[in-house]
Amino acid sequence: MKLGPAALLFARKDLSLFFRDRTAMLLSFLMPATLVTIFGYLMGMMSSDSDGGPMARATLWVTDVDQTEDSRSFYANLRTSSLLSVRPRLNDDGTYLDTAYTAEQLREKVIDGKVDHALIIGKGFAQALASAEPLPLTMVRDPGAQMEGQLLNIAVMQSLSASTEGRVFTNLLVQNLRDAGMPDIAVDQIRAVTEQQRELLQQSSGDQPFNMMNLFSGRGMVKMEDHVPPERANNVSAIQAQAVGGIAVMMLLFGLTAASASLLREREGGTMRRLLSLPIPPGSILLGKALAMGVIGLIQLTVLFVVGEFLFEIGIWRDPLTLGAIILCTIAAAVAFGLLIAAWARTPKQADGMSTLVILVMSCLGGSWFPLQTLDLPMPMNVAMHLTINHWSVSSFQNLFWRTKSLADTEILLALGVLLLFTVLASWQALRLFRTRYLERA
Amino acid sequence: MTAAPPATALLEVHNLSLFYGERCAVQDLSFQVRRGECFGLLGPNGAGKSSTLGCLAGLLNTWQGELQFGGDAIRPADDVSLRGKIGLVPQDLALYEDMTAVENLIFFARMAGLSKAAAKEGADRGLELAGLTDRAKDRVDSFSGGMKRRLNLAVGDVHEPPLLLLDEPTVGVDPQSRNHIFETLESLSKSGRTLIYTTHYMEEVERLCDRILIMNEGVALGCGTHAELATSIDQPNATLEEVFLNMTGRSLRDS
Repeated sequence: MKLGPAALLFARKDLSLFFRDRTAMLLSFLMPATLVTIFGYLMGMMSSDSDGGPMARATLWVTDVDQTEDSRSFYANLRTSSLLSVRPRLNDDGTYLDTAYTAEQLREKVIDGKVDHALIIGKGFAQALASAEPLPLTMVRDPGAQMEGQLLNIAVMQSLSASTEGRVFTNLLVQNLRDAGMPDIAVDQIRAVTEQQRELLQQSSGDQPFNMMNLFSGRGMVKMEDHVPPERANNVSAIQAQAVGGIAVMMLLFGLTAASASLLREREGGTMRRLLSLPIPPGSILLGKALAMGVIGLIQLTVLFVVGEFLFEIGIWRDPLTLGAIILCTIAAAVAFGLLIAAWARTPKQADGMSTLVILVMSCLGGSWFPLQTLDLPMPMNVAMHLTINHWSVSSFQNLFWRTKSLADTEILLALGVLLLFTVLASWQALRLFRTRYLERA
Repeated sequence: MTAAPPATALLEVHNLSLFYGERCAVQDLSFQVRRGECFGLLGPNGAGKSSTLGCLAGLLNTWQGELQFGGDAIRPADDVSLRGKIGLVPQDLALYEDMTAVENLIFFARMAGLSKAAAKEGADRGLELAGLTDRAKDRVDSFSGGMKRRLNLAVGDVHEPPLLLLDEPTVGVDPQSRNHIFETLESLSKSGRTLIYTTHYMEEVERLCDRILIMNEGVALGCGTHAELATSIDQPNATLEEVFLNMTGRSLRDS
């Protein structure tokens, strides 16, 4: 039997066995689809700004000891922050949904580990604000929750500046001048001038809450220009497009490497000896495996991108030709990678261990988890990143979905060329290993 | 040692040697197998029986010497079409456990180059041969060890190769399945098929094989009928086991 028909027959057998195992098949397609969904939403949430819909919020317990108009305004402003989930929550009628704790009770909660961060608006808050004295604000915190702490600091400062209409910044200047030993009379004059400036700024911003960033963006110091390619879906964010492409490529690599391990099972199960004794070119076994893996990979990526389109409208119909080319080149590279691992490994355990390690490293470096390509990485990491399938594949999907590039763009063509080169080199090496490890000692 | 060359030899092996690295698995082995005979390769563990079959089946290609099939020099590993004429029943069960019996038979028949219709016919014949016609559509992983062994044999013969290599096909089976396998092989032999049968069970060789080659540590120690082998050690009345132990010694073989 010739190479082609034998390979097709072999591929059909592998596919028949694959689709027969319904649990494994569902896991192959459902798990990646679930991961794409979760990552897509997570990335979308983490990347949204205050106007961009859902956001990852940090929980902050607050107690207002001062109970003045200024302190209540600050407290109310904290509740409007898109970065915070303020406790105790309020019902529609203004009553508390959760228990309202005193300052001491909140301190005990933090010590007990029940609360990570609590803000105490101390007695004399309004008085200090009026006299430009340091504000009696205390953040009681668990130092283990540092990541949320950064977010909370930003949110508290934003709310403070908004509720005081920027007076905190004037007060800060005044306190610095006093600390520097400037006479009170001079400080008062500077304060008066600064207050006038602040009021002017506040008036120019209309009904918008005071925001330090508006001092720059609103006053024309830095002019912002947003350009959205006309065909790009409006509701997809760059990081969502990255997440869909990234997870899809990572799961493809996992899926196809697992499928390629069937080559090892052929050897361990004894069927390889029988196959090699049959009148077929030995290469047809490898080619048949590759064809079956290619079909599985195609179904897997199609499912994932349809899920991506359904949930995030990543735009798979905009340029089907480019999408098809990227998918095929990615599958070819992933198949070659899977075969290389299978031909290299002597046992399924070796294949599992090595493929898991390499795929996780490639996924991390290549941008399947986070868009590392936007960072200025050290030289060795930069080189390593460019050696991964994930980098070229994910960046191609990103160029297609987010930057709406096509096959006419050199970036995509270069990436596809690299993926094909990887395919050729890895396939050649897999065939070489297959010959030495399978044929001579079958 | 070389037996007298028969006029109707289907397979001739001349000075076959095979090394695994530094280790010699087969050394200067020569024998002939006549058309239609059942030829036994008898030897203890590590004698080189499976390695010899590996060379004949095209699984190993680093051997030295000369092989002739039907008078033509051959190198099975390099000759795809020749491998269609040599069937292999491996020692390990070489079956897809997730597939049914008939699927296994049809798949291997198709891979052996049979058309769809011929593969179907071959599968039906194989099922009958293995006594598994009523279990045709059951998955192999639901079969007993004996049923798997019988199917393993049927799959090796599904394309009816002129020469069938059998590598210890009765390992680990119950007496009933063993007997079934013997009867199957006897019927194949009677129908004119040429068989090479490796084993280390004397009674199997005595029952099935026309001639026997006794091997030890890769070297041929004697070749001929039971009577010829007994005569060669000057004990005409010796049992085959006595001949075997006389030639191969009594030390344990753990390799």
